[in-house]
Amino acid sequence: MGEGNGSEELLAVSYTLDLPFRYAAGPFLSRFYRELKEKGRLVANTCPQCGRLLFPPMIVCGRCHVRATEEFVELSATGTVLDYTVVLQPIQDPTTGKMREERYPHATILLDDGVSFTHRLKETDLAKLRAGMRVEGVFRDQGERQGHMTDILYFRTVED
Amino acid sequence: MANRVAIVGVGQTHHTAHRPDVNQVELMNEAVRAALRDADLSIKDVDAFLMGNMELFEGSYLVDMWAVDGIGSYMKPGAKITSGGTTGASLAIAAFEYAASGLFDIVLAVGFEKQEEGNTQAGIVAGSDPLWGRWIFTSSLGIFARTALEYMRRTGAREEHAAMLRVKADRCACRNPYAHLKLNLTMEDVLNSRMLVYPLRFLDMCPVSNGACALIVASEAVARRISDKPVWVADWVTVHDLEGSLMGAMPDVRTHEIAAAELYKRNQITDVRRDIDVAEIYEPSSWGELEWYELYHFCERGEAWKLAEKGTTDMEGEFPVNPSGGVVSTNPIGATAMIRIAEAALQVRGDAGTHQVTREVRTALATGWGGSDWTTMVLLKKSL
Amino acid sequence: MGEGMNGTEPLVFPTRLLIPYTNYAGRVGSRFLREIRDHKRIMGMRCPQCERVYVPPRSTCYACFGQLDQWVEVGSTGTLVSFTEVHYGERFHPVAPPFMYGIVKLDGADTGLLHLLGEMDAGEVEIGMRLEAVFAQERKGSILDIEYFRPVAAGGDRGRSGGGR
Repeated sequence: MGEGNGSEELLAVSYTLDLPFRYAAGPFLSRFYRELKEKGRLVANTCPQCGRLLFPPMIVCGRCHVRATEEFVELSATGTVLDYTVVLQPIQDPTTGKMREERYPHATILLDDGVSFTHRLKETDLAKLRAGMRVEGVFRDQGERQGHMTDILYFRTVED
Repeated sequence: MANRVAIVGVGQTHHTAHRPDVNQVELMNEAVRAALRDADLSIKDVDAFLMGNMELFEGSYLVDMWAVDGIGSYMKPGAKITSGGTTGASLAIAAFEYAASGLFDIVLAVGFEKQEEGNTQAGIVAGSDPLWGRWIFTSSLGIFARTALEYMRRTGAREEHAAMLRVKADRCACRNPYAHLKLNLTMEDVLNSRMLVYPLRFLDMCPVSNGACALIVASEAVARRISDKPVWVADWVTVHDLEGSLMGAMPDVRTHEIAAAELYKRNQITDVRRDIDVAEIYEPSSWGELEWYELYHFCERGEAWKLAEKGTTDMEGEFPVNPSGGVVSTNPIGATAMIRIAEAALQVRGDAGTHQVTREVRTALATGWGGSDWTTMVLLKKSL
Repeated sequence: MGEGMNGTEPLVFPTRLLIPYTNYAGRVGSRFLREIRDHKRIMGMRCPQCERVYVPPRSTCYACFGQLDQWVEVGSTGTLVSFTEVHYGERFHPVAPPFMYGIVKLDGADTGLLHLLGEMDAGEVEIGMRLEAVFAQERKGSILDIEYFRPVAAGGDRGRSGGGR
């Protein structure tokens, strides 16, 4: 493709980088995804030194540099919305090469157990979204769960 | 530290949205030649090179290998560094450390981004953990919006205060020949620009730019010999958090505060606006600039909006911040954090031309910021 | 792993990176591609200080850091410097296997050009053999506007096998 004309036509080379990868999840994250798939629940492990919950579970506490525990605790799937983003424009999804339209708002959710992460909110009416609202996770049925965070469809608003 | 070090040359491109006339290597070459001219050195004088960008943004792996002719690194020792938004600062800091080590006398660092050639969104998403993050991560807009909301709630600040800083940045950019966005903004323009997520508006956020920046750093003895205006690098600090800080809640104590406390303590800085004359800070949004004045201790907690109202941080103000126009005006990511240092150095030298601050500059601060709340701070001085 | 991790079969996730890019060739690169596309002419850039001709052309000489602007036409014939045969297929290969590619030093150039080799069997390839460019019928402004290099027909080779000095 080119722009400009005649002797000043400037060319470009366009292509799609297409590279396959296989990522090993490791024993801790594998266990996390299995618990999600088989039992429909979120788990975390802990740091024996600072005591914080590690989510997702991991082998080392990044702050204390010590090995984390191999005991997993189940987390309650209820929490509070810290912030939300409405994804107005589709974004380029690097795992598919296609534009990814996001129907649902994204939120940073702080679970009651104290861990936080990003997920979807069921409520799409902007007027009803606010920081501080209470939500709970809606899990897919067992047959549909794949061992991925999308095994939780979204977090729905919990009426007070 | 083995050696004291100084910046003896600074170069950058005219940052812009569209550069079809150069490829990536030629873009870097422009900044390198500008820095060599500024330092009055030849490429033969350079002992080591450091280069970097956000690789995935142009799909350009191993760029240090195929940029050799353009950056003049043929047969020279050195490395590529890529650390997200702080890449430019990490490059500069590595150059300081190379020269301070006593192993190299003159070190060239170049950061660049030919950002239009890729897809910034895809690059940001792919930068998150492949096993955990990529399915949902889009950007950190939500966190910026939350911290902005919390800031207003905590301090009584209004949207107008962030807009004041955006207008200030634009006024400075209009006087900086290298800046990308020069929009002649009014308060109305900013407050009417498209809402992204409340209260963040389109004009509050930084652009996507093509650009490169280069620094030439020398060890003390060499700097004194070859430069009549060496900018002394008094100190630098890097602090960063875990990746979770972008996928979840921000920690209570931010890396900005930890870095600032350490830098100020080591350099006997007790009253920032008195002890430092100008600051070039890495602000991904005008709301970030507002909140981070407090995290960097430019003022008391809860008072930053007052600085905006009084014009304290304007170019002619008591404590100018981002006389270059800042990141909201110019953001070629691999270069951006280095541009902060380059611009701070120009202020110390009195060479910033139409965007030189009115206050006399003996001490300047340059900060960098990026993913996982990565903070860098560099302190520059006219004399040691 | 301790007892708590027993029985956890490790999971492996296949995924891809699929991202579109557009790399600008710049003024120098654009002229190189335009000359091939429009005139089937291969251009190089000469460094007067080092007396080297770069193909593809470059804006800066790696050796002396000179800024270059001396365009030189190089021949579309040259000499094979090195080659290899590829017997496996990948999505990013330009053609299906088996295929050959090599480094061709065009007459007048001091650098080698990496490209495909065609119209010859593996057994016929010899380092030092004379080759000529075959241009694609439809050319779009890419290095594949040269489709491949083939052996020069006997008696048809007017080039030298030396370098560009």
